[in-house]
Amino acid sequence: MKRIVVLGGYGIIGKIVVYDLFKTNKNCEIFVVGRNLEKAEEYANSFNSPRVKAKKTNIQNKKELVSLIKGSDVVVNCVQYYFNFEIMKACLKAKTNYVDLGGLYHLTKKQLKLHRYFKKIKKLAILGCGSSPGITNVLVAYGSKLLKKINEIEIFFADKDETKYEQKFVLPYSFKTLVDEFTLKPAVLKKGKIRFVKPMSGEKIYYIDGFGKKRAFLTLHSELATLPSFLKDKGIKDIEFRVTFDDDFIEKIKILIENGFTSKENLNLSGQKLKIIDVTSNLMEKFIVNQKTKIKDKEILRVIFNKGSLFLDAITKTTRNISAGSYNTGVPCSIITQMISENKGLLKKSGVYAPESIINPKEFFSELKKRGIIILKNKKRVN
Amino acid sequence: MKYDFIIFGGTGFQGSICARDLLENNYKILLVGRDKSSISNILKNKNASFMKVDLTNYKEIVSAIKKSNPDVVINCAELVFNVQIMKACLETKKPVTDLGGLQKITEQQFKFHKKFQEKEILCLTGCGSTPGIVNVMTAYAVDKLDSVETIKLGFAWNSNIKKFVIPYSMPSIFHEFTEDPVTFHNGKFVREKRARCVGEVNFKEIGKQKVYCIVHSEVYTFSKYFRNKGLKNIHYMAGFPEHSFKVIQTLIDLGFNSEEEIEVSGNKIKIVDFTNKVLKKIKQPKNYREVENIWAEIYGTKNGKDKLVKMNCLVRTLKGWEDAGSNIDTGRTIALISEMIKKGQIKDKGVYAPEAVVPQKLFFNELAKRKMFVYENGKRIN
Repeated sequence: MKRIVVLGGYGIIGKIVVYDLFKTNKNCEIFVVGRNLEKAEEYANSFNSPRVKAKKTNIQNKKELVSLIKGSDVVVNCVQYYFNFEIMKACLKAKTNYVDLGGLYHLTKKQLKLHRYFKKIKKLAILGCGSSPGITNVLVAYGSKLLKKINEIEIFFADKDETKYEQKFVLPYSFKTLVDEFTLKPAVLKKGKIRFVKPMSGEKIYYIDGFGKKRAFLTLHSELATLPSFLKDKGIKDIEFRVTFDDDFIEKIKILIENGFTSKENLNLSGQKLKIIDVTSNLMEKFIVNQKTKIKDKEILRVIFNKGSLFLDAITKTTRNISAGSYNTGVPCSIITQMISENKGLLKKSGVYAPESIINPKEFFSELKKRGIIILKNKKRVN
Repeated sequence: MKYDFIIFGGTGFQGSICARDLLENNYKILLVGRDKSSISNILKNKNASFMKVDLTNYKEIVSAIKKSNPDVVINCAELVFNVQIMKACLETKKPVTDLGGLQKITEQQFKFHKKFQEKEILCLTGCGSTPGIVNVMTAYAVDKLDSVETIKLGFAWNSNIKKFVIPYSMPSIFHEFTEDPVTFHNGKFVREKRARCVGEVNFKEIGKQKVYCIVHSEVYTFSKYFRNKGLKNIHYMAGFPEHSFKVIQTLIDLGFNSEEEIEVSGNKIKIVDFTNKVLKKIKQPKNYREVENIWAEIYGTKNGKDKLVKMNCLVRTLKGWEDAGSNIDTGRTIALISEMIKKGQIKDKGVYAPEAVVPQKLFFNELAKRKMFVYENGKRIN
């Protein structure tokens, strides 16, 4: 029996990972881990199985964390990305494999520096195993096998949401990550060099079959931290990553940012000093979709090679009433975790990698297919 | 120690503007609030003092008035304290002015009319710009007509730099935009849908602006005082520039105006207090200027003929008062009306709104001294 530890196991993405591991792999026990034991227990107990257990830990307490993960096969990190580096160091100490959802470029760069340490303990760390980064990186790996030369890549994702919400606003994922995407300087590869440009610049309109017209802007993403070196031999010169949102959504988030609601400053509130962003983030949590809402949405991840001579899509629909954008983030994380624990579909044995340089695309796509996520090459199915 | 005026809410935005006006006229004032850090500049003046008072504690209010023994009590605090402060003024027999109570609280305040008459003191409610200036302008126009059928009124403002700056009390703005407004229609009060947009109006000095039907106290007081002239319709319209309105609407949509408490790392926080504090950190951009147009259109008859009187008061950011923007028309107006009461220029006793008792010409002259100019059908009259 393998042991998988899911940190943040009762969070939006953690829940999906735990469920997928439980359903698709009978050969593992799963620890649902977080700060709040009650919440962990509530979720773990819903499986009604001795294979799923709840554990409490403070991930900022290294000793506690190391002793918890010791003896496990893979640590899956589904907490706010700020803690990635510390958690990896705990994995080195406990000698376990590691998987996460990405480090928003800067942290990913720092995490990659732990490569030789993971090699030394003969373990694997795979960074950015969600939808984007994650599926997008594997799409690039697949594309690189089809093309001799790749000068230019453009990546974006877009959502089409037909859910009838009762709430006035929907928060798609962590508010703090969202704010980072709106305010941190995006990295782009331009003429072979990484450059940082103005937040929310590079606006573009995409018309996508089945998704309609979408406003997109450049954003900081982990793909830019690893794809330039992966594609170096293909002659890569330019890479751009964009997010797309609805106009109304962009306006609301911008208003909060421009009027100081995402500031990291302290505010004196009822005699206590509190960070403004922490209070706002707490307030915004109520806009995470209510579980009773009947979700109907779909998401497309698209990689465009050489100005459209090839484009690869991954399309996800609402599954088990989980929105496409969350489902396609949790599922790859579970697939890659199992590739490690079962030792299959991987190109290398140890070290720190991004998905494009270690995952076998064909095997990965066939696992996605089992879960309803389809891959298209110039609009034709490949999985 | 004897003071000329005590100002409740003296550490707030309007209270400190009011204080500065009175200090420039050499009055002795006591500013009352929770935290004096916002008024350190004002307190450098030897005629100004500060006292910490919790307005939710009635006894503290009474004792502050007794200790300062002022000629007039000025209330620039949030409107939820209006009734509380009025009661304290009845007990201490002091005249009181305030900035208005929107609809509900204004109605409650007028229930004290007899008591104030009996004790022979005056409570003048709604002494800012609107309510305030607009009430006196309307009374001036109504007096010129034989009959009045419809009054449309409101405010509109804009700034040269399109950046959000707190326009006036955020709790009041949130009230105005979330409470269902009442209009006076065909001689009856009608409940409307909250803050709905009722069209676009072209304003002098401001240009085209969308206007919203919001709750305001004038609808209640005009119907009371002008009904004998045949008044049938009163419509209040607020004009916010788009860049400001969007921010307010978004904060309401996201529930940042909520009176509820949330728990953040073990501390209970009232959401609207948090919002207010974050917004207060926003500084005016350099060279930021505002212009406000307070307006009323009075439709009626004179000598058997239809007649429309258009009244406007135009207020611009004033040199030396840049931080106050166009809010000088609220804080300085309550100062000058309170001064008129102290000087004995308003002698009535009971609870009144300005349209009933403020001498118009004298009032307009005081406005002009402060560069707030009143226009009748486009012609300046002060």
